[in-house]
Amino acid sequence: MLGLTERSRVSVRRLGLALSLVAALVLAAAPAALAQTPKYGGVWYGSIANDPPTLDPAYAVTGVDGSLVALLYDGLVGFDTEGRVIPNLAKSWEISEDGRTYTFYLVDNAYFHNGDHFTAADVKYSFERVLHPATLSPRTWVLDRIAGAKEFMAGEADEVTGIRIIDDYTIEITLEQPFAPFLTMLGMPAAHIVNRRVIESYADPRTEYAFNPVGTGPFMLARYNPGDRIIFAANERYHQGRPYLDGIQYRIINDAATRIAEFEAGNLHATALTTDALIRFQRDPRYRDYILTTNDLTLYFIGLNATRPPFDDYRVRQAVSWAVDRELLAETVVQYTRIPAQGPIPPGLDGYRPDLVGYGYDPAKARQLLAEAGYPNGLTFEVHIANADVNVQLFEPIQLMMAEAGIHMEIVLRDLPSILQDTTRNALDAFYASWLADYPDAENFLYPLFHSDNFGAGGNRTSFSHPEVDRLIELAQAETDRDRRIQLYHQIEDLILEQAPRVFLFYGQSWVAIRPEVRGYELYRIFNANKMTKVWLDQ
Amino acid sequence: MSRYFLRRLLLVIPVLIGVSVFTFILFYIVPGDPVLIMVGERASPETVARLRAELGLDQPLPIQYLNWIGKAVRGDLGRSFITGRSIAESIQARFPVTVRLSLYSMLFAIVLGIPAGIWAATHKGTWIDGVIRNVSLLGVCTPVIFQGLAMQYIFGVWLRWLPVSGLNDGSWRDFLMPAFVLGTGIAAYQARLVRAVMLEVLGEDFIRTARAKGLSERLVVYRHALRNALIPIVTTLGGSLSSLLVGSALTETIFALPGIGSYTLDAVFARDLPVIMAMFVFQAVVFAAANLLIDAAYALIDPRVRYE
Repeated sequence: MLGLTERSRVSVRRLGLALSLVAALVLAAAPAALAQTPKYGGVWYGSIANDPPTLDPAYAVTGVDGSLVALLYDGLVGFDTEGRVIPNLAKSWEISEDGRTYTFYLVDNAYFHNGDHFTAADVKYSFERVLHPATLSPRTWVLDRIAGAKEFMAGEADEVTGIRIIDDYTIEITLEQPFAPFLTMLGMPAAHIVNRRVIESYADPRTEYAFNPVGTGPFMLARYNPGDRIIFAANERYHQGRPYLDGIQYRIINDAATRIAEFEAGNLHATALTTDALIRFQRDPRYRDYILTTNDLTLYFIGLNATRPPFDDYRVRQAVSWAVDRELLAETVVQYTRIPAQGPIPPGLDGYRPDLVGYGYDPAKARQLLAEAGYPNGLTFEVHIANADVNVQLFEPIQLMMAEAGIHMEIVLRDLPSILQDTTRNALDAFYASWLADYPDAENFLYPLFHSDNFGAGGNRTSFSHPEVDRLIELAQAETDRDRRIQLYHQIEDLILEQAPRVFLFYGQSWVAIRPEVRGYELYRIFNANKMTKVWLDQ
Repeated sequence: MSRYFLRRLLLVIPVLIGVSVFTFILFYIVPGDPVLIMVGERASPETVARLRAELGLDQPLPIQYLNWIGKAVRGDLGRSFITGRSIAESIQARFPVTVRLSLYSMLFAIVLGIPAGIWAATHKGTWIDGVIRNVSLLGVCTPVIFQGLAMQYIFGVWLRWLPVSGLNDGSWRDFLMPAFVLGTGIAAYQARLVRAVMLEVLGEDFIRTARAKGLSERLVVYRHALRNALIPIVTTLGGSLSSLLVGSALTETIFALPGIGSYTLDAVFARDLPVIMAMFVFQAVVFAAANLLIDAAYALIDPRVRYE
């Protein structure tokens, strides 16, 4: 999904949900925790940055609603802290030789919050609901590779033939073509399972069901006061066992400074940290042993419009890529919260290469490339960025770095939605944005951003088109052998680096502070993976 | 006089229409498409088109506006594009929070600002006057963000006397800090104004007469001078109250209070047209109502007004 480098008020929401792997740090600092048995009880106090627009998986598109969907509903699969697929409503599965057919063996002890027993029919209903034209779900792309989906979406069929119920606890899903990321995509909010009886009891489910969720998830909605707080209660009958917590209360706190003050006052069990709070906490003996971190799957870049001069020439794009000192920026302006990016695939995903060498800071090389491309006297272009302090602080030094290479970069401050709209019309030279993983597969950083099928809102906002890149991406999507697929990802990344459709700047790094009595809390790389089932309070 | 007020009331209607038309036009001039914001990335063009039709956004602009106003005059403010919740219900839930915050803030403003201004005027030239003038200058200049955060840390984190933010038990404790922050800003301005007006009034002939009659200074100041200074004071206080009632978005955000200021701000960012239209017109209504109340207050304060 497109991340939001908007005012801190919005980028914070991603921070606010970052969950990490480096529990090792916490465990090392608190060895007593290892020896304890978890205690049941207590209410978790956390915060979210905005009201969720919806709690209906078919319409959940933001980070906030995705993380709440994870509490209320289950998918066939889930994700561990690293982003690897783990069983949930599907306890095991088989994939056919040709990679097209998935057979899922479902759990028989899952119940919806209203008492209905979960069966394979619920899976078929939930998936067909997302694909049904009357639902108007914006996430049909999660499931539209299933055989028969396209006909169903066009209203030409009254079921999706590729979804076959074998028996109450076995379901078979066949794809049009083999598509390797499919299993991973089943962990997305849109593929979470809903209850037909409940949804069909509403005349207009799109508006009436939105805040009356009934899922199989570890928590149920207890109360929601818009603008104020949302409260969840434990699902005693959760199929993986009752969560340790009795409930969760998320305050809606938009302002990052207020949220950190609440944490310091002892009113929140965890908080995402801004850079200055992080520095302060690291020096504070009360907090410094209770800080978790992970790289989150976010890529920050400058998009370069490939449809018109100057950036229709890949040499000019390469030149601009050589004109930014990412290392220096990551040590100073965006210290801690960003790590320099060499390529589009972030750390933690198959295909990431720690030793990849991308572009460094070489103004001389930039000048040379510009001269070759017909700009011996330098280059002038506009970059449109979202109006936020952190962006301005980042781009003013970049402006100076570019100037060393003879590049005059003008900064235009706007709001992000209007920038994005302009990119669909190819109206901008360059823009600054970020891309947050929808699902933990490198394909999510390649296909939407660089395939020519996805111009505009599909993700390829620079209208970059290269037949070999397209071909390799399609090969990788169909490649069922993991090692060969990683090879292909490397090839694609190399080619993309050569073509330089975007200036890859940073990956994101999230920091979260927790209270001393918190146990079992880990940061997850993918935004909707944390079901809060392992967390307990030692009090 | 009641004819005067009736006329004022009728004049409000074209103002509301004007506000709604202006807001509607502004919404379409400013870039940002609510449908694209709602669907996020990679939604199919068919879905976008159908959702647009469902929300009525594919109709010509005048039709959209007429649909809206047709419903609005019957009291149907519609539903949020984003959440589908009834706007009228949201206002009902959130306006009381803003009202309480406004009233508590006005309390601080009046209790702190007016006495300070009177004191400064009656002790003109002394150190009291100096202190009050400088402190009020500080109050006017201090940004809400800074004052708010400082108070949150002092009273919320370190002393633990008050909640840091949010609507917790709904008692006055939740409003104390935000009301103080807002109220002192107004009080600072009021103090300076009251001082200036009082000084002017205290220089008038009738004050000399009152003193010559042998009235105590207290009576001179509070009964005679203040009464005459009230008109400009009430005007500015009324203006402050109007501004508060339409929602102090920044303060509500910092203190996480679910009032109509943050409601409107969120809607603007999300390009939630029905909410934006409803809230801007609502603000105009509140403003108009507050102004009418102030005018009624004049009639109470100044007998000369009554006989017009």
